[in-house]
Amino acid sequence: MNAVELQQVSKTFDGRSALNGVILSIEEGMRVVLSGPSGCGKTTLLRIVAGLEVPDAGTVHLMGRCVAQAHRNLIEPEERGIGLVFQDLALWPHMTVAQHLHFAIRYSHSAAGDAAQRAQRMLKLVQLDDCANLKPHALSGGQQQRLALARALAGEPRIVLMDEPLSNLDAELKAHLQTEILRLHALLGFTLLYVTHDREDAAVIGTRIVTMRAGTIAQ
Amino acid sequence: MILPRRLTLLAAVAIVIIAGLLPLVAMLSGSVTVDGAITLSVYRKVFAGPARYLSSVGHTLALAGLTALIALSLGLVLGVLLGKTDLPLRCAFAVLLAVPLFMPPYILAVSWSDLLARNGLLSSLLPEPVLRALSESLYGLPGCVSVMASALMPIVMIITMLSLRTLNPRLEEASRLSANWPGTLRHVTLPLAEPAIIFAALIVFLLAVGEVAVPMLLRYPVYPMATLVQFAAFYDFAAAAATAVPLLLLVALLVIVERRYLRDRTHRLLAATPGKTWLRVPLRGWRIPAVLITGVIAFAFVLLPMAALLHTSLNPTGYAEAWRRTADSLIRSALYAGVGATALTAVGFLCGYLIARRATRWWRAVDTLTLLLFTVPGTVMGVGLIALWNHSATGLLYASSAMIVLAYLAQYSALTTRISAAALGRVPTSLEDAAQLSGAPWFARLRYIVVPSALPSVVAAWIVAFIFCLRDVGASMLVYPAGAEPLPVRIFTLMANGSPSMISAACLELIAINLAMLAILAALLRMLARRR
Repeated sequence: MNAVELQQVSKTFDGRSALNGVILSIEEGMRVVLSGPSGCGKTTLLRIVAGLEVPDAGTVHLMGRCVAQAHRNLIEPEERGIGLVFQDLALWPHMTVAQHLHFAIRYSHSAAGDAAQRAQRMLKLVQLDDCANLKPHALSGGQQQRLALARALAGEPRIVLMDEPLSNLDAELKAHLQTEILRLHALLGFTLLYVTHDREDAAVIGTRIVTMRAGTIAQ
Repeated sequence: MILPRRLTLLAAVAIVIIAGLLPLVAMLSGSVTVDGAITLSVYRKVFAGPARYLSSVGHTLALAGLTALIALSLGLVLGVLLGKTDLPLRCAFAVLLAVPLFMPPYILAVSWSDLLARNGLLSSLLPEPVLRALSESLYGLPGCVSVMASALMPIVMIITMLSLRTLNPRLEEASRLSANWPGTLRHVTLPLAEPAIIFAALIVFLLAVGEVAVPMLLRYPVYPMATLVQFAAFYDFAAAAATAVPLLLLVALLVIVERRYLRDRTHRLLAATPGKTWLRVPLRGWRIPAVLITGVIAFAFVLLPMAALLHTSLNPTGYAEAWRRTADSLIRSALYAGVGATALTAVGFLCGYLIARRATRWWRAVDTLTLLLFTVPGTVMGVGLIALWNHSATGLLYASSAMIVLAYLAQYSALTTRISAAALGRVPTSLEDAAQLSGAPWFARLRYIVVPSALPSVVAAWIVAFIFCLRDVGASMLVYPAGAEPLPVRIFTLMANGSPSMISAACLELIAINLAMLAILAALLRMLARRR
């Protein structure tokens, strides 16, 4: 089954076309990298899959369910069971590491079981169990990236989206986190749609690389 | 689900419409309806001799124009000095110079009157002819302009400070590579802040246009008094409404002009992320002269009038009598202001959210509506509220203190809305998006993510709303329930027959509460900053 399927998806902002008839299918469990130059529509596509933007035309299917069509979200973002690592990480400054995960687990639809235990397990998985009571500003850059990753995975989503999560990191930390992402993917088996403009990053993460240009899929 | 969000935001906007817009519509409708028939007879009667209004209209425009001009000149200089330079004691000066904004302007008129009285603070310092000349000029245009400019100048000063601190420092750095600081200020910094500064001057003009209490005290007849006279002296409600309409049209016209030419530019500026590393202009050899100039303005505008109030109030019976005659109003005022501030904070936060997140297509209309209601003269709003609610079906509500809370909601939602919108503009939408993708419904996102992220501004909005509710005179003067007037109205009415020492003591009571609230705000904001 296709985890993500976009049919003729278009999106315009203030008369400027961001996506133009995009067709894309991603099989369940795959690691797909969306690559291309800045401004080619990668982030817009990701936000449409997440439900944070509504397409002007076309349909979006997730795990076989139609979740969006022209000018309308059929399923709101919070109901889609998707994890997203934001480019700016979007960590909540007033919450500790543990509170980030408790929050994500509390409202997740897919997962069941003891929230505290699950948060602890997730913290161990991303090696943040020593930092549970720290707030984001007290974490290093790599720890902040891992927290964003842990939060995206806390609800046990079947689809995880990552929007240039490793940009602005030094080479050593980037290599370390690439390994982490691959390890977590192997362990949890989610479908990964990963946006980057870094070719090396794309080569390491993706089992399939999709290139975008000027709002369309180039190859 | 998107429905709860939309319904909640709609409810907040509906409250603003019911509290503020419907009264104005009812007032307009009341002015063109006689015995159920639509007619302009009231207007014909009221404006039969337009010449009798010409002088008061001229006085109003002169007062508002000169007030705006002086407030703009002083507020701009002070805003730049306090918000952009390394002036010593700038925090203390900023707080001190903002104090007049947090009290009813008529208190400043009382204090200047005390200052220039025969036995006032200046009587032993100035020769008799000079004192007499100053005292005579207080009662007229110069006095009204001085009082209104000192009361409203902080608006220009604060907005200038805020706008200068929200500029992108990279733009100034780019200029500094080729120009010195005066050149950068002149060609880059001030032109970028210009829309916000013009907006501030416009607000001052509109607030001065609607002022009644100061001109009444200083015996300078202005047009808004006509509404009050028709209502309070002749009990002619339709005529009061008809005389209020030109003021409403003037305010609406200027708000439309603001929306047309400044709209996006001021909004973008005030909602921008404040640069943590805003650039500071070194004053170098100008530090001492700049401190002296700022000190002289603070002394003349704030310390001298306050000292005059204190001097007059120092009488064996002043405070005791003030307490005896105003204690009930004081408690009542605090209660009204508390309820009003809470309602304003909630409504303003939701309207601010709607504006900051462009949550509906008509966010711009909400922004314009709150601004319009803020600048509508209090007496006009009061007449509107009476027109809407003074009916047998709504008699219970009309006779209750809820009318005062409605008046606050009508007038001050712009303050809490703009504070919230600016704060929410600085909270990245991705924080909320992340919570949404975690599955959190809108109320949970609001409670756990949005409100905590903007908490200092929520606290600030509540306290600013409390202070403005506590200082309100115009609308509350017309709508308070019998025997339950708030403190500023009680003081104003006591002026007719109360002793100067008692009046001054009562004014100081009101100032003390406002200063205490400002101190609490500063402490809370410092505590919240430390917790982060």
